[in-house]
Amino acid sequence: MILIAIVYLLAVVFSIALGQIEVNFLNPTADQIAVMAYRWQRAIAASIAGVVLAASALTLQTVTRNNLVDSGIIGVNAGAVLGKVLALYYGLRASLPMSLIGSLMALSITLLLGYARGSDILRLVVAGIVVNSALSSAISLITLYLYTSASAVLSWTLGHIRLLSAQEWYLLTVSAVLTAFLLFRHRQLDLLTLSQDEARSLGLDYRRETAVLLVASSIAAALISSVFGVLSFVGVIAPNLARRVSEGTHIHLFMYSITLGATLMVLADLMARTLIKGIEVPTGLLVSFVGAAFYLYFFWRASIDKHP
Amino acid sequence: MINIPELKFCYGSRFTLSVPKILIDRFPAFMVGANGSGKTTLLRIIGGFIRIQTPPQIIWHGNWVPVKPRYFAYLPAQPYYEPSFSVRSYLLLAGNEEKLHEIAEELELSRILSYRMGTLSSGWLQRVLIARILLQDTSYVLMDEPTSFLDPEARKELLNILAKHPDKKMVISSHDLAFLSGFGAFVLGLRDGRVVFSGDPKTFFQQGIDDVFIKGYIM
Repeated sequence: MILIAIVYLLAVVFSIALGQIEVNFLNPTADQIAVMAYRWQRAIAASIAGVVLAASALTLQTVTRNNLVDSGIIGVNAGAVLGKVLALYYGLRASLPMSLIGSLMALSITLLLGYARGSDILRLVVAGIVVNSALSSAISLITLYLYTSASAVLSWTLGHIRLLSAQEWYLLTVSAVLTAFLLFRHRQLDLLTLSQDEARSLGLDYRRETAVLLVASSIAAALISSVFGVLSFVGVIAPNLARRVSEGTHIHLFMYSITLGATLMVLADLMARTLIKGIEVPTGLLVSFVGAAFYLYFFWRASIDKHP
Repeated sequence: MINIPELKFCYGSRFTLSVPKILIDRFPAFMVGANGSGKTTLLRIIGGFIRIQTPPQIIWHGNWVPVKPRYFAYLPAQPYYEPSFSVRSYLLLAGNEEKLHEIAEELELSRILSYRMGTLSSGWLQRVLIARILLQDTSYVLMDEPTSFLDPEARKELLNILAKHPDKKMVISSHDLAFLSGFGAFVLGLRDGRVVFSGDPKTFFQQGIDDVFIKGYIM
């Protein structure tokens, strides 16, 4: 754990010191201090995104009993993109509220469909897939008629870390508070690894607890996607790496996941800024690339474990 | 004491469980019957996991109260657990550190407390599961087929462990008649969703067994 924390701190230091403009880290000029302050803000924003996405995905994974799930499954990403696309289509300047509303609407529809006739976690996951699919086609349709701004939509879908407005910092704070709430429910999440009946016999109000955890974790993730766009895979990678290195109780899993999530996002953002001279690669793209490699590795390892 | 009211419960149109009013006042109580006879359903109704209109009642701190899941320590036929939990963390889900040590000592689990759940053999796993059940702060215990994956030796060990806890009021669903004959104090025989026998084990083996299972059942 200490090792990962040190790696995280190093990542932050590097992301402040390195970039397309050279700075003298130990003895900076006034201009260089401004550059470093800018990078520092980006590093913090990236860290918060990583922490929230990791904690939210860990919660969703435990509640749905599926370790390859993240907040995308609830439809929040597609909802945020649709909101953004609609804002572009109607030429609205306020795209942040639109993407926030879109993402929360998608979340409510998924929850409504999922809980409409009895609470069944599998039903919820299916509802998420349905909502995702419907929203994707809507997004494609609108993008098709956006001609000139199609690349703006694409760019946003890929997820960017950037400087944030005061409004956006406020949303980030709310999502961080929701994440803290999830952390405080680690005992309940431990009980949710048992069967439903066993958890209930140990005093857990199963329906209420799963509903509360689902809503809190998805809203936290919805806030992140409405600010940054789609950052997929961090949520899947961080908790699964945490499971490999730590014991399975949630207090441990949370600590490892959020540190790993933050580290991954800071490193991805650092690479995004420095990889190609003169342009910035979308952070989300890099995270997805690393994520894809991880997926492959995970399945590969899992199949080896099963057939020795 | 567990008081089960007269009840009817349907799973769609294929299966109906109908039970007359029964008072379970001797423990360990066994529910016997073939697969699909309604043992697990009745067990889950007793535990309050399936809610019905007039729920069963138990004596809890001196009063008759309708059942709720948290009054029971419940071991389902297929318990879920996270393989990466250590044995200690798993047991702490059901009780505090102090009681944990007591039980771990008694079941000789102290040595394996730091092991991961996923690495245990089925015999040790069963011990850990039983430890969790005994750890929970309640005197009512429900167990669904606790002996089904055990070899004869492990079964005897389980019986020895359970026999040391006469304070626990156990209701055990099983078709393991050797287990019943060695341990049971009360028998409820089910067949196709109906109660066809209730009484003590001796009478069950003399008269009731043919009603519960097919004729010529070999023990």
